[in-house]
Amino acid sequence: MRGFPAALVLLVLAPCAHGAGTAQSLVATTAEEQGLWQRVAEEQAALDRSGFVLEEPELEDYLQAVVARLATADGLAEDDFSVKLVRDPTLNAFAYPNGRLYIHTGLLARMLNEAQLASVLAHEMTHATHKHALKSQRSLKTKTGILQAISLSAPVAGDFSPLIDLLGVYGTAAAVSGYSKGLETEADEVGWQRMRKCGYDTGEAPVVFRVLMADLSEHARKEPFFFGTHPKLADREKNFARLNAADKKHTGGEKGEERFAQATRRVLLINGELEMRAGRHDAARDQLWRYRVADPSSVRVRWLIGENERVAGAQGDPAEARKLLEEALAMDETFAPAHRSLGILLYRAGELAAAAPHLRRFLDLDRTAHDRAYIEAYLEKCEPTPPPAPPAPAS
Amino acid sequence: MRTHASSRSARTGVLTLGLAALLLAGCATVEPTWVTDSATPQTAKKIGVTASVPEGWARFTPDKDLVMTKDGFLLQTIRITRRDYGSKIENTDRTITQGMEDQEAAQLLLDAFAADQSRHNLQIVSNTPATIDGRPGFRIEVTYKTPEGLTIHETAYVALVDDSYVIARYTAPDRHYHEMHSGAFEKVVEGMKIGPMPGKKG
Repeated sequence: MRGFPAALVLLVLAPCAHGAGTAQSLVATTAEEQGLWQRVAEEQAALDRSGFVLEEPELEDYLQAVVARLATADGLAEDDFSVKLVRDPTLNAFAYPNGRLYIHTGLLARMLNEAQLASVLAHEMTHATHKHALKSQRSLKTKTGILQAISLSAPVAGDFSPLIDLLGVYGTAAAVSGYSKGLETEADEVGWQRMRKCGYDTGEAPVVFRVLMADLSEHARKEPFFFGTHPKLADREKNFARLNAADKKHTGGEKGEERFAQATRRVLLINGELEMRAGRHDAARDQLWRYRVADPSSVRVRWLIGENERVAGAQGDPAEARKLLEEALAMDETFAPAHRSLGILLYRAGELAAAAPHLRRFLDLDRTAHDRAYIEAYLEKCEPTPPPAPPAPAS
Repeated sequence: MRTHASSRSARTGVLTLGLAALLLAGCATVEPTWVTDSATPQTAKKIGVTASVPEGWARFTPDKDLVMTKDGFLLQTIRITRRDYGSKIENTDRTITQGMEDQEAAQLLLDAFAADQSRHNLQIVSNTPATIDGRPGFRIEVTYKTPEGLTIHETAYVALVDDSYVIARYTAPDRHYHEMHSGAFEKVVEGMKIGPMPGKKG
């Protein structure tokens, strides 16, 4: 474990009842399966070098600890599973057949505790342990068949080639289409059992899917992914609720709220900025304010909340933006992005004299800013060059 | 790489079908042609934009946009398009609106590029205000990698016109091709004439 505090890793792992006997490994047993693993390893390598996979060692260590806890409780080799975080505000998590899981920052940012995270990871791990990709590949025969299945099953029409460029064919199939209803139900059931063996509160499993459904409805959002699709989320919620209802010995279990909040709070900051840049200003506002509560001394979050209000147009609040940007600069006068945002906000409000010092300070602090030429042009309008003085009369 | 080759071949199949459909549809109207006349400025009537084809290049018609290449679209492409204010920009819920500042519109496009899953490891090379046919606008230049690892260099001019905005993009592999033809692209933009958007009251 690299950055995630060892004590917290131990806290994640502590309640875990180890499965009896030798850990069971994920193995590609046939030539067909070995071929599939080789292909998905190539897809993973492309995804990992795409620039979309976050390098946040502490976060990865935490996610890895949760997966290890789920694996060991069920007698699985924890090293067979790994988790990576994708910088993307949409709702998505998926597994490759070799045990590599990916989760989008957008999905993680909407979760409230570790039990909710465990419910999604345990579901995804089951796709790997129960060889769902291999079973699906057999039924579809060819990659063209998989591509057609993606188009037919996708919740929104569109061109999936950019997604395939990032996730590969197998990754896109897992992320967009998921698997057959029977295999998805199996992933829910086995995932639920793994959660329960670990002592997680299985009551949180249906909750996370309700949270995601409410989020999609509230923002009238259409997303291409399995976990961004109302009917698929409703199926998960229904399955987990059914399993909980049938579990008479259910005693609550662990939610892991504080540990989750501490370990994943940076996701709120990272994803909040992505939401802002994607124009999802409500979601950005929600996540950035949650981060501010967790880290009240952050200058960056004040800037981002202010910037979100500034760029949100009619949905934004310029007065709030100004207040937060001024707060950020009161905390750290050398924080260049806040000078830029405040300078532009004042410039557009016609307060040219007030804008000028911020625009100038931004240029002084960030000498490599890519939008320097625009700021210089604004500054010229704020501080027009005085006309040259008339020549002194000859004496 | 086997997987990418596989996904490429699958996509090539889809593209071939798409092209066949396009060609069949074209048979009913106008046959696609290559125009190599660099002396006569070419007008894309559907978007009201006129530009000259660089010497040795060809314009592919019919097309609602102005699309040109010298050696093939994979090696260098100039594409001039026109979009309504408020139209959806891929990978974002934001739109370029009438009266938007050049800096803000440029940042929006760069954010959309950064979120594009086809553009890996996007790097901003430059971002500056620009004037295109007397209209305010901006010029952005980026590089990114394709999933196969090829570095692409893209330059885009955007003119913020009264009724819409016009985008002129030049895309080529970074190594060898981009620099070789960037002068031709700059000349195309210099000579570009933007008329009123057809079908819109001026």
